Amino acid sequence: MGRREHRDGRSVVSAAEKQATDYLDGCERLYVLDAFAGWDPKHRLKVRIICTRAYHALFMHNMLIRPTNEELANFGEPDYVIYNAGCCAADTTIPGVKTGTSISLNFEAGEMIILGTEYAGEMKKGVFTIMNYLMPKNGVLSMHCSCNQGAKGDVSLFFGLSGTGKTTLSADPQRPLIGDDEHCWTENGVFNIEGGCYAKCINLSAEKEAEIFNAIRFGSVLENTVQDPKTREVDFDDDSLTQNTRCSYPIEFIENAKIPCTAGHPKNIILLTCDAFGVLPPVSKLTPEQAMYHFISGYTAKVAGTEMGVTEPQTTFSACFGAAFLVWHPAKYAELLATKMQEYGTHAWLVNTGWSGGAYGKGSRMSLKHTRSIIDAIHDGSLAHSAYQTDPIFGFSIPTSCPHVPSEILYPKNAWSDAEAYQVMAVKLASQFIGNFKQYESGASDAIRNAGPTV
Amino acid sequence: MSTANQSLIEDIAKGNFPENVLRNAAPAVLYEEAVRFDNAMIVSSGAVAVSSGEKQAAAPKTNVSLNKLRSKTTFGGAT
Repeated sequence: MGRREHRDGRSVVSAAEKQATDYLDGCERLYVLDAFAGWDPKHRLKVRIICTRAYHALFMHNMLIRPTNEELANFGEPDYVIYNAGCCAADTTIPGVKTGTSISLNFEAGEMIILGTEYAGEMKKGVFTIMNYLMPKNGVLSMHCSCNQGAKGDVSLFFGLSGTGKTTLSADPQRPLIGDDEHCWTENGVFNIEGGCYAKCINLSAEKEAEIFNAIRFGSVLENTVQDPKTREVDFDDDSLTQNTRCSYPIEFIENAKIPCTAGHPKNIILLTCDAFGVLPPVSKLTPEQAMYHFISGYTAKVAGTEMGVTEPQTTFSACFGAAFLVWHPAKYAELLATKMQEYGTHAWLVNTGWSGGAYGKGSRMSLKHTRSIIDAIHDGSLAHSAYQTDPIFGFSIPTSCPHVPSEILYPKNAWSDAEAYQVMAVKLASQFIGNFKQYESGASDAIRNAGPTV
Repeated sequence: MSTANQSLIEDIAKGNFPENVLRNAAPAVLYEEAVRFDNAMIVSSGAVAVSSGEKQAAAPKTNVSLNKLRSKTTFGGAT
């Protein structure tokens, strides 16, 4: 969980830095890319990338916010420098470096060192980790979420782990996109940290995801896809190199993007989860305390894929829906979230895009159409005016009706054919929430602790 | 532009960018560089396709070190 701070972190970082800068000094050609992280000029960081591969420079040109010629001429000293010596394996004789891959972040010196991995995503993740370090110090909440804005200026944030629908549900033709992955919430509203997107492209098609498909054009970087050697057509179904094929492009390649990528204070926060146990309702309304609890928990379930004999889904908890990028205790981010929600009257919703009427194997997958109707009802305000009943185990409020969604699936216990089986499964899931939360109890207030399930 | 220093990194840090250091090159230039030096392939849609080599996903957390000297707080009781 989370990133490690080695007891000898300081020496790891300085030794890795020496190795990386020596390597870069010995190269015949280097690329430098100076650009910004953060669309809000008040909070933006000046980031410099020094790398040996041209594609790494183009990748960060796409992912960061591109300076104008004037801004570049007056760039001055960068706040952070990323030394990407990924082509050079880390020296495992450095204490604390166990394999040939080493990523180190020195916040004090404003440096990130990459050794032994050329995966471009490390640079993007590094910038986000830096923001997760810096922003909370100034009362700004950095968040692993997507963001869009409605016609009336109402802003929504979508949190969720991989596979829960964060990207799919934020891509809404009626709502301009602010960003698909990393944002900050300041005293003035929300800004996107990035100037581009790093989209998954396995099985991508023009029919299913037109926006992304059409963004793959001149200037976009495809990473680890397979293409026909003669026609140079990309085979997006080919996973022979990896399942994790990716494409990076500037955000203006998305037609529906709002430039600059800033917005007002969020009206709605949507926590997405893919509950493969069929326990969580398709939608529930959370109090600020419950929002903090579920934000810290970061629950989703992973369904066994094609593995023989594996039918049981597995619970996954990732604090703040992005534990890998956190620097401080999750409660620090959760408290900022709750403070801002209270200050700006933001509503929080837990949306289950997983199973209904039974667990994986017995129930059925929530239809995207129903989930979209739920999101629409959140946005048009109709859900806020529904009647609610309280879930006896989880304590959140479940709406009794939602336009274009069958009422019988809204309350999971009713959706299951066997109410007792539901009860057993619900207690089992609740116990896992409780077990997971134990590690955060010491840093969490009574209000958050009491907002979890009771069994 | 000066190449007086032995070290490219020192040059860059001083704001000097010698000829073999391309600063904020245009995407078209980076395309050419990637094709010449980096085994890149331009695909039919106009995007540039590259390989990240052996590592094709994020490194596990055990390979990540953080150094924030003035702050004692660590996340989640890291060991």
